[in-house]
Amino acid sequence: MKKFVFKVLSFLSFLLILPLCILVLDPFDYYTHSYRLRYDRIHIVRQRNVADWALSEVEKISKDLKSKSTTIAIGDSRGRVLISNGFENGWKGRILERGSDILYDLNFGGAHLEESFSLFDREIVNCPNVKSIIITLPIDRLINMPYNRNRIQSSMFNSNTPNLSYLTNWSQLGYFLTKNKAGPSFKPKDPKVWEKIEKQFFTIFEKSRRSVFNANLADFNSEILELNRNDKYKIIIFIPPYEPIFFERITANFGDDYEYFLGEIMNLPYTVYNLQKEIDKFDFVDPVHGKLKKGPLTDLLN
Amino acid sequence: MLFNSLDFAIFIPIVFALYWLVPNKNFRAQNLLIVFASYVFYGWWDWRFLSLILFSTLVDYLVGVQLINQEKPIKRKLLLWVSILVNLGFLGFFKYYDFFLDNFICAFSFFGMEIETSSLNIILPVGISFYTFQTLSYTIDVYNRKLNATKDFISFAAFVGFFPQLVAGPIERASNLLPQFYKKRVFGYHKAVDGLRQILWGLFKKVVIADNCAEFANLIFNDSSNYSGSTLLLGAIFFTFQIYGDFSGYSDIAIGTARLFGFNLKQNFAFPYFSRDVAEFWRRWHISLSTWFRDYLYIPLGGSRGSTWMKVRNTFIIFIVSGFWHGANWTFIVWGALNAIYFLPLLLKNKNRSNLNSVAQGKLLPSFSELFKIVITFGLTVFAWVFFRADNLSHAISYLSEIFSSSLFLIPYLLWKKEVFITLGLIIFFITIEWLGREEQYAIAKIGWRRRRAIRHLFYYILAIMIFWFGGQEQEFIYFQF
Repeated sequence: MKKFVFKVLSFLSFLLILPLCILVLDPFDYYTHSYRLRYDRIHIVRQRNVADWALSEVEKISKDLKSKSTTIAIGDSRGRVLISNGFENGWKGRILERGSDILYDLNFGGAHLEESFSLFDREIVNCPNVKSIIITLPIDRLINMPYNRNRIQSSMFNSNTPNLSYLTNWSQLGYFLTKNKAGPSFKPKDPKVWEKIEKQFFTIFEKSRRSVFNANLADFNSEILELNRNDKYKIIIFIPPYEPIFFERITANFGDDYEYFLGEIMNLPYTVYNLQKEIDKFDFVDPVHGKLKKGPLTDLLN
Repeated sequence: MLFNSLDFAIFIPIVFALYWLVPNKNFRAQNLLIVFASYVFYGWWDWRFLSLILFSTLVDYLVGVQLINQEKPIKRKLLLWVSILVNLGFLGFFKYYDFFLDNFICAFSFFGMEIETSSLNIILPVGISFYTFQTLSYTIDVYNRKLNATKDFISFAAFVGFFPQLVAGPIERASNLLPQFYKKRVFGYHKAVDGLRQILWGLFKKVVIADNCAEFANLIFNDSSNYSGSTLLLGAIFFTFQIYGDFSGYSDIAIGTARLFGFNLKQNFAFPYFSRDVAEFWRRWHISLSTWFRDYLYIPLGGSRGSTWMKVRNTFIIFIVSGFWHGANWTFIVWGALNAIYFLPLLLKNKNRSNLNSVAQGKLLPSFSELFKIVITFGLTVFAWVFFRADNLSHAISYLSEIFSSSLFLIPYLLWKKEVFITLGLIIFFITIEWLGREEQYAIAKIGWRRRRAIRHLFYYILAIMIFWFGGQEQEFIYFQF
């Protein structure tokens, strides 16, 4: 009996060295659940990725979602103007229409609709008090989606299997992102390594099930119908504003398509707010996207 | 409490220490501790359903005691039926009530009659199918005078509630397990080490193989309309390994845990995916359930004796009931019927017992003919598992239709994913180890006495590290739902 216990303990003590080191050091914060809740968006985005931030937001608000009447905003980060402090036009109040509702902003960088719907499916869909959903829909995303990946699915996988995450490309990318905190000028000496990292940024994510609604409003609409199967939510489409210089670029590249899709969206059977139309007359400065420092990594992350 | 949980990792050393520290190894005190520990183990999930186990234990104990002195056949039969009705009554209510109600409503609406009723949304008590069958076997054996009834209530309660196999088997026969509670258990170093080794292998099967396969099997089955036939085939193969890793992993952990406490449970899986025909598969898959049905249903019905019609009838009954035992859904019934269809030609040609030994016995590799038979049997099994896993019959049929379409020849959609490659690599590693150890009770049994200590320990460490790496997500065992 003593021999048995001694041998088992010896085996376990040796075995536990590696996991203990990882648990204690946790170099990429995979285990520290509270990490996500403790740090701000920029911190998480820099160290991990925007989809992680969105998941952490769901965790933060999950209690409220069960008890309070809420509105959820999902979609591209351009929709963050809804809640930005520097923006005073009262759009939030106008769009909500119901002053007592709380708006939770789950828009995140470059989120296409499938990512947003994945996020929604995760937990929010079961919350009885979600009354309406604001879907941020930048029209240029419909015309020209730069990648076909589902980062929410990847983040879910990583958050569910933290041990396995140490074996994936995440670790390598996480390392460089962590290093980047020292300053945006950080770059590996070998440019090929940098290219590899940039490439990985787009390949480590789960592939999207379909071509993220590219130029296909019918797909988009059917996905909304699926999301709102029982007609449970009020659906609001929010066309976000762009700073004039970006907007000019979009209209120059996709002018006809832009007008066509705008017309189609306005005809969708939902409440549609086209904020782009309203900001033309103000020299609009995006209060969210102007804050990040420019650099190779922030360009990627943004 | 799940075997692959932190709760169990804390629970087991405490119970183990208390069990072996009982003064003078008093087996009655040990039995009492087992009963207490088993109820804690079960109550961890939902303490309310402990009353069901207690009631079932009490009924079967009293029926057994009454049967000792009862000689009148009518009264003996009456006692037997009390036990059967109580046990199957609970099982029927908790497991099948909603199913029968829904089908009843469906049948009436088919004839244009609408019935206003609502299902009860009954919670299925974990492991009810397993401990019900275990206690039933006791009463039937006592009734048939194959076993002496016990008057020791604590031993009987320990037999019914024995925590290693309480919630997902193996379904032990009273004739094997109950007598082990009557005698003093002596701690055996080699037995305990063997138990730990089997637990390690069981955890590997569950955490590394089953849970990883589950990731992709769920992904593909839950969204099957969007995938090509080749991807769906991949999904079915992933599920095939998921269910084997999950269930046989559980059995290994259960058997290994029992050995730590000085008990021997029967082998529940004997490398079924290396079977050369379906009959052999069923001798190797969930052995404790197959033999239960054989002894308490198939043989009383006449077994393989009698006319061809009787053989066909009995085969269908046993397989369909076996399917229905797994769950209240038509998919399980079709799965059972499909296996009956696979099995019948072998039975009718008297070839159902032609592969009794282990495949390629004493050889490293199988012959071409054996390999061919293994692949065919495996293919048939994969096909049947689709029904087992599908949400409903139309899902299963559409899933299989897509597999047998031209899209079967496309490159599977998920194949590019690194995680899929890792999982396929793990499956190959797993099959290799299982193949090398196929003549033992469990795959890595012989590494304990044939290999040098350094190699043994290195192998254990590799397994343990893999369990750690892949063990982020605690997933329930599939068979808990049965």
